[in-house]
Amino acid sequence: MVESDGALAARAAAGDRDAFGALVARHQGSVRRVARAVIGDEHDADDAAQDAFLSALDRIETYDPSRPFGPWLIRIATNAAIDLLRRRAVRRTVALDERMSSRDRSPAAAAAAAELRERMAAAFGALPERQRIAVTLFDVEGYAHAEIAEILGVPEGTVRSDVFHGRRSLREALRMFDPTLEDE
Amino acid sequence: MNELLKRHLTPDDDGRAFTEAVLLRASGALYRRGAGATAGADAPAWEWLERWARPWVVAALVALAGAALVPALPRGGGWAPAEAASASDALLTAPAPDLVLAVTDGN
Repeated sequence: MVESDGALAARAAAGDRDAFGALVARHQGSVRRVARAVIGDEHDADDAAQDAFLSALDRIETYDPSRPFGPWLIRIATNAAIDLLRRRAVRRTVALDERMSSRDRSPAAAAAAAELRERMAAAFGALPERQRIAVTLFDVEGYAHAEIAEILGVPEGTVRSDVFHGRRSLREALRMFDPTLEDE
Repeated sequence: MNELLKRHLTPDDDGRAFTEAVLLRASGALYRRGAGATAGADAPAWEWLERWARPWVVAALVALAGAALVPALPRGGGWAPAEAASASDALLTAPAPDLVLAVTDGN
């Protein structure tokens, strides 16, 4: 049986390394993605994601076990990423991901995929910070508007607007490259 | 588009190295928490004292003790002179002081 986040959090609060490690392993994907959405640079984003987990451990007594652990953690991660971004004035990178060009594709297909990915990275990086976070939480992490509003501390209507405008900008940036995106 | 965005944001690793790095940085905090939990489990009998032995509790106890003692002091110290004064006044103002003295001497 899979141990719940609440049970793991209680054990982590008592200093249980395995429990805290299980929490980190379980949530590292979403926390790192949110950090990357905010910061851009993957190394700085991982630094922020680590800071977020340490901060979560530091204040784990404030977590209410009757509520989901994910939004509580994502709120901390978002703040940690924004803090790091402010502190370092991180230079966003739009590096081409090498994975896309090496997976069983013809050179032409690999190049096309790489260009699509490059466009996505550029378009996403050009979005305002809050739109990047809102789109990531909504489209990638699957949070509802209300949950995102709670995480970001803004009205739900603002989140809806951010998601709408962010997605529209991304679609417009990618539409010329891939017309099928019009149907999404 | 969602899948493309997810792929763009998802790290290209299984997360183990990241998890180990977090655990390494958290080792001090985890140790302190573990030590604190152990210490707390070792001395449960004193928890009530730690919880209740606050300055205001001590101050209230001192105040109560003071309130119990202070009224007794004037009563005990003031009784004897007042009694003595009333006895001597009775002797001086008695209609027959010699008789009173004789009774006293007889005793």
